[in-house]
Amino acid sequence: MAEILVGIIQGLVIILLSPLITGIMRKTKARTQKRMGARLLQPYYDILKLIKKDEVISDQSSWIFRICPWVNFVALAAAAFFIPLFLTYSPFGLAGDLLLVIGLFALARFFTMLASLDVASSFGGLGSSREMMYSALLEPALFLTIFIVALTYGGTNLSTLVTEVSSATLLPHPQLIFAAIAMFVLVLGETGRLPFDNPSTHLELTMVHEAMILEYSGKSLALIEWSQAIKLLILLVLVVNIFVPWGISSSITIPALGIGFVSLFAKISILAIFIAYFESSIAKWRLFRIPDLVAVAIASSMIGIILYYIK
Amino acid sequence: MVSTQLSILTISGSILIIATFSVVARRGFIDWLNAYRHQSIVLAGVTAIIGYITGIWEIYIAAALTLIVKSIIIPKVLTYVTRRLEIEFKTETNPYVSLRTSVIISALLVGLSYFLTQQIPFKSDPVVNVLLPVSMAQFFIGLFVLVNRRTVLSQVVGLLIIENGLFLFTMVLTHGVSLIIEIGIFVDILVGIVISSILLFRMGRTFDSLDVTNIENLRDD
Amino acid sequence: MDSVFSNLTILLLFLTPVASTGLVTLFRKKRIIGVITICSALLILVQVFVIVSRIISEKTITAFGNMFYIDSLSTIILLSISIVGFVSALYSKNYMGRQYDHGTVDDKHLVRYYQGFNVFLLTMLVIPTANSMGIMWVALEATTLVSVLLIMLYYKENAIEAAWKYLIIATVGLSFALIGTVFFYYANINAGSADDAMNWTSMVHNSKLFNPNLIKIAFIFILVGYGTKAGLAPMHTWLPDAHSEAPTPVSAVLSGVLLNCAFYVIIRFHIISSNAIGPEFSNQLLIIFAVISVGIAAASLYFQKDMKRMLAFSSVEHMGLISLGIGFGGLLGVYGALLQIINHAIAKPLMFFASGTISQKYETKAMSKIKGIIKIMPVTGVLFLIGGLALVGMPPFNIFLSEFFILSSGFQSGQFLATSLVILFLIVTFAVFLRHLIKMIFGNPVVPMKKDDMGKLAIIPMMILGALVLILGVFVPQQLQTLVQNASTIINHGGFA
Repeated sequence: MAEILVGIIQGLVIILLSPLITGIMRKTKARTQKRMGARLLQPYYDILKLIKKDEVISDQSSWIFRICPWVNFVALAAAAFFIPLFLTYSPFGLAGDLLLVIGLFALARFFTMLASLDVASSFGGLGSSREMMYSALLEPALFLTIFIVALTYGGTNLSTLVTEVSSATLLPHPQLIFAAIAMFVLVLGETGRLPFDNPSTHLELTMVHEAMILEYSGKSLALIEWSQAIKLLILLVLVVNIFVPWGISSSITIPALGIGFVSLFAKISILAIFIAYFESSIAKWRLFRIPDLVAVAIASSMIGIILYYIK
Repeated sequence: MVSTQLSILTISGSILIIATFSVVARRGFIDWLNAYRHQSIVLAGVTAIIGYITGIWEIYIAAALTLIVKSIIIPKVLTYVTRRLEIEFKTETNPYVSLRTSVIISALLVGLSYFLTQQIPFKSDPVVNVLLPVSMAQFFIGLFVLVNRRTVLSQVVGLLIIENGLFLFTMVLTHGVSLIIEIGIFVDILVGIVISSILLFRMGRTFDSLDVTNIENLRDD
Repeated sequence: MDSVFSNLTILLLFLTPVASTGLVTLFRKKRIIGVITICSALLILVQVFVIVSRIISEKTITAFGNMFYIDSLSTIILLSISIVGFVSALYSKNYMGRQYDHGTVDDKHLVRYYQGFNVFLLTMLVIPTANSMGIMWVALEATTLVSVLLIMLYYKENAIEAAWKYLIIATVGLSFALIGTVFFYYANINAGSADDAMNWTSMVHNSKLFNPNLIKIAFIFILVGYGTKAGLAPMHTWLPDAHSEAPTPVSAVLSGVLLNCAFYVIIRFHIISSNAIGPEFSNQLLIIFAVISVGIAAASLYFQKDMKRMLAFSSVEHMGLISLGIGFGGLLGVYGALLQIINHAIAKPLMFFASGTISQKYETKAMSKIKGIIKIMPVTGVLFLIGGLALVGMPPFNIFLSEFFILSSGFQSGQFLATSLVILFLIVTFAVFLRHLIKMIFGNPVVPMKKDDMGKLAIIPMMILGALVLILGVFVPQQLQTLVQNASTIINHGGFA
């Protein structure tokens, strides 16, 4: 019973905490650019405000456009329940496979791309074609990275994975360093962070994700923004729990869970701040240079696999 | 051998590979030099650890020399020489094989070097197992950078990487050749870099460019 | 007592060029520095003759513990270094003097040239005397650096290009060689040697215990690495550029001696590897590289327009022949190869000197613009012809003898394919080289010029070399014969004198 409860809490924490992480990243970026920036809780206010607003839907659009935000939100929120957060396993772990999580991401992305094509605005088409290119490029790197992790810890089930990770010593797996490098690039690409896409503007011709959701407003926009935040947090949690699982709790006792939560929150915040800082220090890359970066991720994960087999 | 030592060696090996890759994946000369500097610092650390493990005092001197010559003097010399060059000489805009392909090729080279070291009959020693492939990978990637790039500066960087690979190779396999020879090798590198700097300087003045295609006059056809 | 004498011998041998460099730096006067260099080169020659006589009676000299080790094989290289060094120093005086008058070089360059020349001699002297393979490597890398400095003496585009290619290719090649050397060192450590594991004597001593697979890989690295420096094809690409752009006396030293020095190291490793895994493996490799070298040289000679580049490709050919002789093995083949080392070291500088004088006179290196040498410079023309005939292997000149030995040993050892291929290539070389030569020597000059042999100091070194070419073609002096025979025994019998 307690397990189920903790599992539900884990999922809810991800869903509820995600706008805060987005807020932290925006604040960090603002500060590194010598701006004050909005409050940390601003994403929550945004979402509340958007929910209250009226929605404008193009009369050229079909049902796909209308259900897309819901599919997005449901898929990502469902994924949130499979992620071990501050407990080494998720009670819904039987279904909680890494590949399933990635499949849910792909579902959400697929619907976003369809919806952006649906309204027949030219930006939507641009955005979805770019998004397709990115996902096609990132796919091999993503799977190579998953291979490394799965090979090292024996399986893609997230719960067993994180349990294994938390009990292993860190150092004897050099392949994980390379997997982490690849994973970092992947996180940037999957969540549309800076060298791939600029998340803080919908006024650039080179935008990708923002171009796809340009037609949304009101409640739908709120859902999409929120699911983006959830996706970001899920990926950050995965990075943290797979590569630096220090402090995660393996038993259901209040102090252990508390420590787990606090350490997780600290690690996530540090990672988020690091990404934001990293974003401030670089500019968006030309679309055709992006494969260079993806090539680094692929190469890095290839080396990781080599290292695994050699040892 | 203590397992933490081995772990540190493993991690440093990974860092060496990463630093080598950042030469392959980046375009600017300053970036390359920084990567080389970081690599050399890690290399000095690895050397010192090997010295600690084996207890041979000469290795500490080699480590100190690495730190001084490779991470301080050589980058200084090269920055000094290239300071007055225009910026377009310092970036590699047009390699023979595109950057993304070269990154993938370099990864394959890493694989190749692991494969090769398994073919050669070495005594089974944890240090050799961990670091010898890394040194071979540095050697191969250095060669690849050398032939793949068009600017003369990147050829120098390629040579430097090859040299680091060689140093690691000798250090790992035989715990360094004797000190006199080691110092001789260091002097050779240093003089070589100075000479190539003079050549670079003259080349910049004579050809107004540092592209290798300019230096293909001498051929037989 | 005896070891003190040996130490002194080695010390003096190295001190001479060092002192000469110091004096050159000190005086910086155009007249004096040339004479200083000539004197020091002469002194080296005399010392080498002393060493030769000692080696003939004592077989080996070791000095400073085991750091230096000279046997008959090293003496052959020492002999070629000292002879070529001396005549080049002699020729430099005239050649560089003319360049100075012509305004190509100034006082600063002259000082730099003579400093470089002396240091170059020093680094080359270290190679055959050192016992440690590591020191040989360091010295060989040092020769690269010094000769790069000598090549880039002129601020010409081509010189810079040649220097750059030479620096990069030779350094990369030598890095392969270092890997090979470390493999041998590793094998020696595993065979139980401790402090002196890098020493050649220790390697030879333990060579039966080496791991065969390791030695195979190591020898490939060695052959590719030092082969680059020795000008074996297909790693020879730096050679024509460097040889054609260097100042002529330096070209002579590069071609006549430096290539030999690099090949000498290969021979040393060849001995070890023959001991460890039997001679077949390294012999086959040497023969393959040799045939490729001779073939590529033959093909490239046909297209040459530049006189010095033609000579450079002829060097590739002769290095190929030397490698062929060592690869065929047997007493005859090795004897021929070692004789070829000396003969080539005599004939090639002669050709370079002659071509240097000629190109100064005609103010070009393009063969199409050089006609009627014999009418304008009779003495130089005759010497040029003698050297050319010797290089293509005409009897009664010296190279004929050694080439004959090498090729007949090829038939003896049953390598019919390689031998007949090489003979075919040699015929092509013969025809092409002679055609180029005759076109330059005979006929009428394009522009009428004054008859002038460009001064005594240019002629004397060529005369010396021309006389040696003739003498060695007719008979080989007893001492040299003993030396070469001893050296062949060393190669054929696993390294012991």
